[in-house]
Amino acid sequence: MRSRTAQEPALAVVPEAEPSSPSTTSAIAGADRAIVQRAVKGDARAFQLLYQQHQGRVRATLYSLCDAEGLDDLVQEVFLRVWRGLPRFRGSSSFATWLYRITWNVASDRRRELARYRSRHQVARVTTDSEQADRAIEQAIDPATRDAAPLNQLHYQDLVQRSLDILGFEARDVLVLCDLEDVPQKEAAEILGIPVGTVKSRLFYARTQIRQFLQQQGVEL
Amino acid sequence: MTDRPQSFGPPEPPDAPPTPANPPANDQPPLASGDPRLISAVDSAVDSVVDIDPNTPQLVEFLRLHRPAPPPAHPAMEQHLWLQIQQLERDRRRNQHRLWMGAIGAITLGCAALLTWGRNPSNLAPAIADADLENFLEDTWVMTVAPDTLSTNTASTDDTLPWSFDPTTWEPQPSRSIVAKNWTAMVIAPARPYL
Repeated sequence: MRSRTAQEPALAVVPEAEPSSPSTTSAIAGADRAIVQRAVKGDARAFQLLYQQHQGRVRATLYSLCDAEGLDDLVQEVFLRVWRGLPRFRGSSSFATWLYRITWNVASDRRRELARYRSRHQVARVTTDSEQADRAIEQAIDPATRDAAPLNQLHYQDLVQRSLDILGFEARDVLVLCDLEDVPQKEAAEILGIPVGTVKSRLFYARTQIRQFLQQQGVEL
Repeated sequence: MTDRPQSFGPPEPPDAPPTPANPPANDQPPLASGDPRLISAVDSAVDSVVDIDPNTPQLVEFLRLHRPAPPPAHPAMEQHLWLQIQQLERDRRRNQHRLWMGAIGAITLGCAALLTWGRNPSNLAPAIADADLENFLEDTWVMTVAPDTLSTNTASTDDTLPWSFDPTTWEPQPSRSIVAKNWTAMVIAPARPYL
């Protein structure tokens, strides 16, 4: 029987993997595999390494798939599921694919939960232009973001966020995975449990929708 | 984003030799649905449509560049996650311990019950009450002895069996046994000659 100890480890923070070349990618994949194998055997320090390497990406994906509300809870839920599922992880797919699948499952659960809540309380999610403007202003006056990004950058970020909001969940999932997270279409199909052809058609549809929206907002691409 | 010149290139001349992109028209049987070649062809066609837009790279670049950044995580989030994992492990160990203790207890109880039950011979023998047995014997004991021998002799001899197999030739024999030597003789003994 596998013994798993969850004692708090003390490790240096490992920067997130940013593959730049094929050799770097394969080296990172190899190191990642070794860490995953250690974590599968119950090594808590290896699990913490995995958390530090992937939590940024998981967080960004969840933010793109859902929204900012309860984001910390969602990230925690993802890594709790990872911890629970690691003993059953056989490595038939890559760890990143498996992690994205868990992330997508958590996001889907969250959406279902929100949809149930809204239907029970009959609250329609109507995002008006004024609300969007308010959000942009809030971001603009937020000291954390004000110094980091100029106003036009915030404007474009707001446009991208709104363009994601107009997409249906299916198209949004594919666009976030393939275009924002740069996941290959085959892996996206594996994560979402749909054929590759469906991924491609949804991606085409999502890009068309977003392009039309951006053009309406005066952005020419 | 891969280039697929064979799909969108200029048409080949009619007398061009067959190539993978230009197979001979009449030699190919129609593709059935589910055929891997058909699926591959459809995928390729969809791929071409998705990739054909020359502005796609700019769009993807724009989306990546201006992707809204998620709000920063709570400083104590990692600590909180770690506490939750520790709690999870404690619960898992407790559940495992309970499971093992329950299994061991159930096995011990089962073995003890089996041993206790097996040691009592009455549990292994058929449960027939004495009264039932007596009633059974009374009901099935139908004239298995000659009426006039009941009070005379109780001796038993082995050479007289079976005395009642042939009722037409039977004669009262005072010296014969009143006790049937076997169960079969008692059961099949005819009653009419004695009435």
